Amino acid sequence: MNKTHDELKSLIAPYVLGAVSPEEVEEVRSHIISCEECMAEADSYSSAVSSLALSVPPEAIPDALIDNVMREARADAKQPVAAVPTVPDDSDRPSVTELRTSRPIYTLVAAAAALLIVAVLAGALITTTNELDDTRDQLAAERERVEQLARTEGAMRLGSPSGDVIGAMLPTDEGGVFFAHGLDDPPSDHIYQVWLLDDGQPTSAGTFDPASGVGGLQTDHSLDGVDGVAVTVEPTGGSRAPTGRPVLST
Amino acid sequence: MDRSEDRAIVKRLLERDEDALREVMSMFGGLVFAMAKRVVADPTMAEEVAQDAFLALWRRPGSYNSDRGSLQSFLLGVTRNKAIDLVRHEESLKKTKDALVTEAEAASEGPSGDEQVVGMEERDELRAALSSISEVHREAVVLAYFGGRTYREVAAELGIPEGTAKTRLRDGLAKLRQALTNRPELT
Repeated sequence: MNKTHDELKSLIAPYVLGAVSPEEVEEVRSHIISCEECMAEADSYSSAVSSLALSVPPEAIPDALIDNVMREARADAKQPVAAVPTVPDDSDRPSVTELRTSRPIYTLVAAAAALLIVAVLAGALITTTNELDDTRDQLAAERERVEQLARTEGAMRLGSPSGDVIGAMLPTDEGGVFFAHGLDDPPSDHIYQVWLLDDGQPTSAGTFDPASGVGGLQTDHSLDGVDGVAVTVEPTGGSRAPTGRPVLST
Repeated sequence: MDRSEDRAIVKRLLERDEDALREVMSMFGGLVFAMAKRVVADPTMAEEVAQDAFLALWRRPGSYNSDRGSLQSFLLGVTRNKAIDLVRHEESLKKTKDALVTEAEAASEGPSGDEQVVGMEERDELRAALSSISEVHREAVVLAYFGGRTYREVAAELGIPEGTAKTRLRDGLAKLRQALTNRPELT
């Protein structure tokens, strides 16, 4: 840990090639997010990395591949896209008040010890919520910021069916940080609730109320084993389990 | 296939249209399987990786974002990552340096074959770009990208200092980027 800028910069190319050790991934990712210079360098390699993938000549599709995939796809075709199941009434899941607590991202601004990545996210949020010059360029820049975060290794990107709303869930040392852009205000007496999916089973990561289309939260729930994230609109206070189709999902 | 077609077929996947999944596999199955085989030494396991990649798209079509590249590039990236995860857990599935380099050189110098999605002309340009990189740079990049080696493993395998391995990876990508400059958008 605590590598210098130059040391981290030397790991940008290995990082985009997926060639840094698991122990270094988090540190390099956090640095890229916070450093414009390194972010630009990482972006500059995207065409080269894509060309590596596209250089592989196609082969004949194995006979069984399509049939095998279709068989498995049909098996879970009954599930909604984000695979957010309803929870049985006799579930022993915690009540609303026992749901994992979350802190609105605003409060993180004051937390000097917050991870740098969180500060960057919060900064982006403040930029938007304080906007008096709500220009299209600025909104596009904010959206791009979320896209950049979602592009980092280990992050999960969320999208809406229309593509208008995007979100990113990023792992941190203490759990995860979620950030979304392009949200409509929820109906009155409702909020957005974030769900972590583990084999399709949802666990609440907390609730948030967006401002100017932007919202987010920090969760202390580990993202280890989490294979998807979804956001639903729920009554204020949150729900024990998702009650509607996700507005955002991985 | 342009991005509007990518978006259209992903929209159908979101609507749970099984025909859309079948179409995606018909279009990209050969490329996805080839990518898995490039990384994984066992063809049967490579086929499983390809299946996992398509099922991942079926289960989470929203993870594709057309602003960031083509559906083809996305699928190949998913496939590559799944294949790398596999070989990192199962050492016996890892390809040797010689096999990786030989395959990469064949791909960069060989004639265009049965082209499916990336057009023949486009793939020729990619091949030209890859072959323009020096052997030492190509070797390092191929070991990392297709071989799943970390930069430390690249250094150990090539018998060079870690700093040199990092530099070769950086310069290899930079030279590849340079060779691709002013060419049509490939992603």
